[in-house]
Amino acid sequence: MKQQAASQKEPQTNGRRQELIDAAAYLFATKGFEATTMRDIAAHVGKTPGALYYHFTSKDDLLVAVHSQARKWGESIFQEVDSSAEDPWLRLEKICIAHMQALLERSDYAAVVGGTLPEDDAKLRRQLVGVRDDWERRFRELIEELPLKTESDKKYVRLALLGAMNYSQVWFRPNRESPRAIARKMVDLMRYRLLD
Amino acid sequence: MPRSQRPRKINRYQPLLEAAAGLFKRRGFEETSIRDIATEASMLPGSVYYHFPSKDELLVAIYKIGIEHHLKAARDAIATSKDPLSQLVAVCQAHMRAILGGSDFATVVVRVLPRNDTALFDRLVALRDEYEDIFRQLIAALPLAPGVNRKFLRLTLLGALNSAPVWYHSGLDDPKTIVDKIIQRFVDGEKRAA
Repeated sequence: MKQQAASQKEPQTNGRRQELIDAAAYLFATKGFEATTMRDIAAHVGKTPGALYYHFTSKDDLLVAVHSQARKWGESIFQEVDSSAEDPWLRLEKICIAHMQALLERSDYAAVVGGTLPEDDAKLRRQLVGVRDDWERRFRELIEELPLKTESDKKYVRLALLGAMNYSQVWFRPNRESPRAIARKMVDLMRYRLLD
Repeated sequence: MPRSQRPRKINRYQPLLEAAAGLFKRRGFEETSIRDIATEASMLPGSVYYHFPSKDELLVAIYKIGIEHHLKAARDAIATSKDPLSQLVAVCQAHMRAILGGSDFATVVVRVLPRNDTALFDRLVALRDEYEDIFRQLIAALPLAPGVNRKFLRLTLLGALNSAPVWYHSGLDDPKTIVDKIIQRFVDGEKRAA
């Protein structure tokens, strides 16, 4: 019965749920997970804590939801790249452009997913690391296709590229290079010879 | 720092900085309170405020120590060779050693940069700049292939290394070898079509 009622008002409920996840992402990113309370998140969207608990049983739940949302976006991007048959370097460039756009245009989510995970809860930590691992696995598959000589080359191209992209949040300024231009230049650095 | 500017209670000052650096590194800056730091250093919150008016000032003090650590390690590394590429490799290796366990202060410099406070952000970036100038100079001395953008090379290289505390795990090569392999990959790339 309860489920039926929920499905009837699903679009509205999903909209509210999304609003709450967005608010949680913003507060976790700016204030930190530990320092944010359920009350803060409710207040941010002008709701009572009770209304928040209707959707999420705990702050941990919200943190997992923020990570899951990031993963969903990632998966839709990967599907798009998977359906394009191109040169492996160009496919990698595509995924990197998408990654940079997500990172710089949805920076709250990126800050939460890429930031420090709560250290004192091993079970929660494992769930969150899982989301990050999925992202990395898809990346690894694309990098596997590159015409590089050794497995070790592939491993360090992946780690260096992901690391460099993720770190761009520190120095990125809108109105200079676009996320697209940055991604292209980084992939070029991995691909082409450095010295004259 | 001139000796006269140092706080008098130097015996509590250093453990306090170490406690704060450790917490900022493990837990993050926003996630750590003055109370947490006091507990970690076995002090009362009021005693923390005796040394530092705010958490921001604590972070700036930690940055200064971290930057000193990085600068010294980089200068020692540069002295080991005269070839710009070898010097860059050596500096990157010293950098990786420092941030992967060499010094909590050095790790805080690359992992903690509060984004929502412009004034604090600018102070921290100014401190980092002195150190990053070493990378600018080393990269400026490299005989780069046409089409390679020096600024992006620096940002990409530093970004890759500075993310290492997140991606490094014991199943990988040691930090020195990792730097060798990353830079070798840059060096060995395809020849760019004219």
